[in-house]
Amino acid sequence: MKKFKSLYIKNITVYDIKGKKKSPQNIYIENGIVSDMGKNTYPNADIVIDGEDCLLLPGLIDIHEHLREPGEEHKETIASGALAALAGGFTDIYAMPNTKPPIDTPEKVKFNLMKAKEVAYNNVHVIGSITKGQRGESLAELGLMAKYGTTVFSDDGKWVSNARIMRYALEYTKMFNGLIISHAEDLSLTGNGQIHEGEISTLLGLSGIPEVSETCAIARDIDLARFTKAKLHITHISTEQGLKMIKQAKLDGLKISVDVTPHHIFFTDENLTNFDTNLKVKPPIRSRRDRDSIIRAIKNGLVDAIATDHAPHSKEEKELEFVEAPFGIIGNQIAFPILYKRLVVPGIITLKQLLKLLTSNPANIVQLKNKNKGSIKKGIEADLFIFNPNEKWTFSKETSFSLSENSPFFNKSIDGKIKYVILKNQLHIF
Amino acid sequence: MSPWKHKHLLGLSSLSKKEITRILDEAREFYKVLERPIPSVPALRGKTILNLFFEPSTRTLMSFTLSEKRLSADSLTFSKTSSSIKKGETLLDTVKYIEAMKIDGIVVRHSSAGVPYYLSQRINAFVINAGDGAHEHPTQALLDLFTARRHFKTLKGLKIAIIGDIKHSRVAKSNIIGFSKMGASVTVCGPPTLIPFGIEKMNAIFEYDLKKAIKDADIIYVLRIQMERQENGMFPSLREYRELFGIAQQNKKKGSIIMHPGPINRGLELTSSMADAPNSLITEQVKTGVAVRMAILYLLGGASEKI
Ligand SMILES: [Zn+2]
Repeated sequence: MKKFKSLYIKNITVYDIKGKKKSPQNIYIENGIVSDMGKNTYPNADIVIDGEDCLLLPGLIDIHEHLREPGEEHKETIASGALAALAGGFTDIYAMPNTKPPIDTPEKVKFNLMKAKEVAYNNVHVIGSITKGQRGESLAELGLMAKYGTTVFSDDGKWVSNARIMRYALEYTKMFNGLIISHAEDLSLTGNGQIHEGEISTLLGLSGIPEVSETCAIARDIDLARFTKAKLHITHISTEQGLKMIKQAKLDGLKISVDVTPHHIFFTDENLTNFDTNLKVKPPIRSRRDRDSIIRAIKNGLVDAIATDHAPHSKEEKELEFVEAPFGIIGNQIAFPILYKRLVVPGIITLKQLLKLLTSNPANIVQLKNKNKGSIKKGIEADLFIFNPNEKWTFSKETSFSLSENSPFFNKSIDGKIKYVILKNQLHIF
Repeated sequence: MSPWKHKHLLGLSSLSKKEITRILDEAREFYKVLERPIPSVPALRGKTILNLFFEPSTRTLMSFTLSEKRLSADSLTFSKTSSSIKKGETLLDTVKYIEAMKIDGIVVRHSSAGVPYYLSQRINAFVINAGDGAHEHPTQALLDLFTARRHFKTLKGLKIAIIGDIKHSRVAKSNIIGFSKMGASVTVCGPPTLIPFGIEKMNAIFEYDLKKAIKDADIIYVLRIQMERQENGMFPSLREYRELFGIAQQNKKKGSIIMHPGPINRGLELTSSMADAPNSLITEQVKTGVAVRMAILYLLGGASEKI
């Protein structure tokens, strides 16, 4: 990381959530503020970057990451996970609270925020647990956590299966306009399921996780949101049927939002025929039909955000029998390049749409204080990254910042590289 | 004969009709060997085969051990249930152990689907799947195919009805794949909660009504019912299962036979009188099992000596 007073990026193509700016542009950043954009030149700046062949894009936000601290620092730490995210263009990230022990008190929220300030360059936000110990039995101190650091809550990893407690959580958080994020999964239907229940689970002899494990949970949550008139966010939706329910809920005027993960965009259960534990994840990689419905829902705007659900697990744990291996996939460092290639290059969505899914939309969902997320304009704090869509690199032990390797993209070539991240007066070179 | 091209036998889904026929033809020769006064051959002399059984089994283990001895291989057995394996002792350790012992082939049974595949990716020895979770049990299906072909002379056009817990049965899975590949038609019947998703995509017809399912069957293949399925609430009671899905009567089809992979819950899925009826091939299945496993070991062991 380099600190600078003035930074000059010349001759670069600029995109933000409004679309493509008249290009190419010269950008001048001084004291952490974008102070000029246009034709002027600043050859005497502290640092000069030639932006030819590159894109200048707004810093991204990921509202679903697992940083594993405290308790499982061999898988990830706040420092390593946040750096991996930064290298992936994410300048704001939200850490899920299902650590060991879970983040379920204002003290723990404050401690992790303090720790993050010390070790991370990007903005690490902390999500609080909905229930004490994430046991689903009684509300955690949501009001105090809201007062001392976070208004976003989730028992991610588990669904709040007790409907009464979920009702209370939705009602209670209304007083400070908080947000409940639901990991919609009815465990009584999941059982010891390993992969999506379908022809592939039958063929492989692995117990299935039926789509109703997700949809029954979504149906209940939507109805509680309707009844309480509260905001509700459904994370990592994986089924066509679930998306249909969300669509109807939105038509009915409910305050519902939804995110999907890159791995549910990329893979189908047909990719699991080799018992690859790096594709073992919750919710499971589902059928081709579900995957296609997710892409359609991204295209037509039903999906509000893309979140990585970056979930590190050690190699030792993933290299076990399939049924013993834990659920989860890492991906914050490669999410943007792979999504760009999968969605933007073939013209499924525009870069502007992809940026919305990774900046302003999720920022609105979690009510990020920075209201300029996703915009590049004169006078705002620098929150940017420079992307070379044509550079190839390999996602591997040498290039990855995560402490874990559990990704189907590990040791694979990636098209498109994030070269620089600029956050206020910091320049990060990757 | 052309050389055998598969290094491992992990399941029937990766074998062609031609390859299955080849195994059955080889098994026919070994079946003859077993009828000789000295029923053994030196085909695998000097080779070491490790039977790696992580799940309790007597029949399959005995059958493999005998097959290995009849082929003059050095045979070792490591038998440990997954639950008794020390915490922290992983499959990966097992791999290292096998590599260090210079084993030529392993026969593996495990309660977790995919373990034979896992091992095949990490060791030099050939791997035979002796049953992995609810995935496949290829040697059982091959011996069933052999038994049926020996009895009916051909498998083409046969009608087989498989009765019971299809969802959790690797035997059912491999048999559905095997019999349909060989041109037989497969009907499955059992409680709907024990029929897996997408069974029709495996070329099997599903029938709720036992009478209808077995009416035209040449082979009534009865699966063992695990008591824990009832405990998990997948069907209401054993007596209800016996009444609705137990085989207590012959069907009307002339020349039909009864098969069961064993061990039988006598009086539950199959009555004793049916199990011991003249048209029951259950004992024959045990005998053919050795011949078929010898054929598989012989093909994978790359034996050069003719029998
Ligand atoms: Zn989750």
